Amino acid sequence: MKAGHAMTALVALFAAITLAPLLWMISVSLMQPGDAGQFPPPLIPAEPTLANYRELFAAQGMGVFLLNSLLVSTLATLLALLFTVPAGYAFAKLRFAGRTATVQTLLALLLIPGQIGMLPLFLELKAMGLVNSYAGVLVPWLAGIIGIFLVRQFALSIPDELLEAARIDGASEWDVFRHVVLPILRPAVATLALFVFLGSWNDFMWPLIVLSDQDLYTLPVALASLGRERAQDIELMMAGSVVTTVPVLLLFLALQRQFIGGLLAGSVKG
Amino acid sequence: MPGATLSRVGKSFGAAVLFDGLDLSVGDGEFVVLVGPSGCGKSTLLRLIAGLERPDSGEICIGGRRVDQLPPGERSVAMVFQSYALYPQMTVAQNIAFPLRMAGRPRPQLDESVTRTCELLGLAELMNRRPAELSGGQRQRVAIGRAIVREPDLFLFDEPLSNLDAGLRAQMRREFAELHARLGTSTIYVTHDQAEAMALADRIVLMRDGRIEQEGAPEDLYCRPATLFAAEFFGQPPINRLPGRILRVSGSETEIAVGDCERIVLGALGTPLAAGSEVTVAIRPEALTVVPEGHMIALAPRRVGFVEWFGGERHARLGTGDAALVWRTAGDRAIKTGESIPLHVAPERLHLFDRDGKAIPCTPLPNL
Repeated sequence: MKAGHAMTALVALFAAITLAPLLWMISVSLMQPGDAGQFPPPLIPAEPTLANYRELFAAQGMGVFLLNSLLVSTLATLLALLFTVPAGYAFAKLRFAGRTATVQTLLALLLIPGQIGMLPLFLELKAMGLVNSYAGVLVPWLAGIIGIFLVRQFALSIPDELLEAARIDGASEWDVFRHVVLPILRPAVATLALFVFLGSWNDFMWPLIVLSDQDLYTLPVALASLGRERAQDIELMMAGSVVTTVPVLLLFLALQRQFIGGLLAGSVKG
Repeated sequence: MPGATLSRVGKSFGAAVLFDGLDLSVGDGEFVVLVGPSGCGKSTLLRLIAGLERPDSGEICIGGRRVDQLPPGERSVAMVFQSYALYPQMTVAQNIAFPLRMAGRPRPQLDESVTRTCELLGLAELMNRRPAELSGGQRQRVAIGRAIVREPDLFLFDEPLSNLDAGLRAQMRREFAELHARLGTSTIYVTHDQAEAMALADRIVLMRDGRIEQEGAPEDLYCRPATLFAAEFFGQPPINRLPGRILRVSGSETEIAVGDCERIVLGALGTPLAAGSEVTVAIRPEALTVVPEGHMIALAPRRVGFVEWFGGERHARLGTGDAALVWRTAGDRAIKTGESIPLHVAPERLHLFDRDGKAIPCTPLPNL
């Protein structure tokens, strides 16, 4: 019992260390301009105010960037699921020529860092006329290899007999996928959706490269450009960070049960 | 013509030929059990009929319709898998309704069929449970329900009882038999369990290495095995086999030396064999008796080595080495280890096989 208490205390300590910067970020975002620059830095705002948020949304147009980010991340998630989930299932369970070779090629491609592909991809998109558009921002999210493998590994644990039973029961290949496979893949799909949403929400480099029109900026790009002008306004920057962080935190909390289930997928036979 | 027929079916996996022109027919309402050791091709045969594998050559007809080029769902077959293969996210009712839903049956008709099927199988109370909340036997029943609800021309069962414990297996076996009597649908049932095969089958098809070794009524296979393989496959404890040699063939009399110590005299052999030919003499454990009746063949007395008692019956192992015999007798007969017992066997219950394992028909001595 004593060991249990010690463990709880240790975990609580780690949680506190992890949470402290987040809490301070929220705290600073509520301070009067200039308050956070004092030494030692205050932990709690002396006179809490929403002025920084007002400034962000009224003067800096953060509302547009928030909507942009929501739009891009939602589209990225939907498109990624649309292409990745059927692909992962097909690689796991359908027999077709070149399946193993394709899987191995994809695996090998994982070794290439994404940054290396950025310039050629940019040039390709430029030739296709997709630069400075959301279509260009979304392209890298369409079929992520990691996502395909996540779904494939999960789908491998589905017994073949289940699919065969459905085929004998008169289900078409689409019915098998829709009625039998997809419900079983739900934890994997939720995990993948969260990965893609988080990834595209936090993505900075690629939207920065593709988007030149300020009206199209996503939150991280907009926040960076704001930082270039207003780096000394710590309170304003923190308010911007809160706006950027909180939506995905809420999403994570909402999906966390599914997410954990997805991470454990395949380890224990259910 | 209902039922099912397979003609000259061929199937290879890479370079390995599994079936080379296999023929099989299932009559209308017949319960056929495919039985054989693992790897004999019985499950693959079932998958060919279901459409989960395509034959390389030959024809498969179900209910008088050629189906070998049709997808599984259009063959009017239903299959019960060893692992039950229930859809985990659906309730019992949804599982059973699934084939009807796929067939596009209207909702009221579908609900009625599902309810009727659940009542028939004693699942009415469990209709809203998911498979994970059911016991093995209940899952098995749901799998059966999903198969019978669509009223197919042919049922396929792939070792459906092998995941159940012994008591439940006996109960489900009885339920299978009752269900078949009630529905009268042609059935192909695959198992590796010889007892299950004998208990259920109208006709047993014994398979070995992708060929049909012998087919017939259970009594035929047990009492008149065509090969040594068939003789040894059925029966528990397994049939006794003793090495023999033809000593003398003269007209209607054949003398055979068994082991080192015994000579038995039989009538004419159905297959002529020269003196000196090696044969195998096989005797079922229950065919042995201490009390001779009529014209029995006496075997040399053997010493009792090991005795097992099962309540209703007793199995004793007599003799050693090549001459060892297992004798199955009543449970209330006292047998002492070490005592020497002379056993007898009726000549018509003695089986002879040639060197290739093929049965040699023989008659008892006519003048005895």
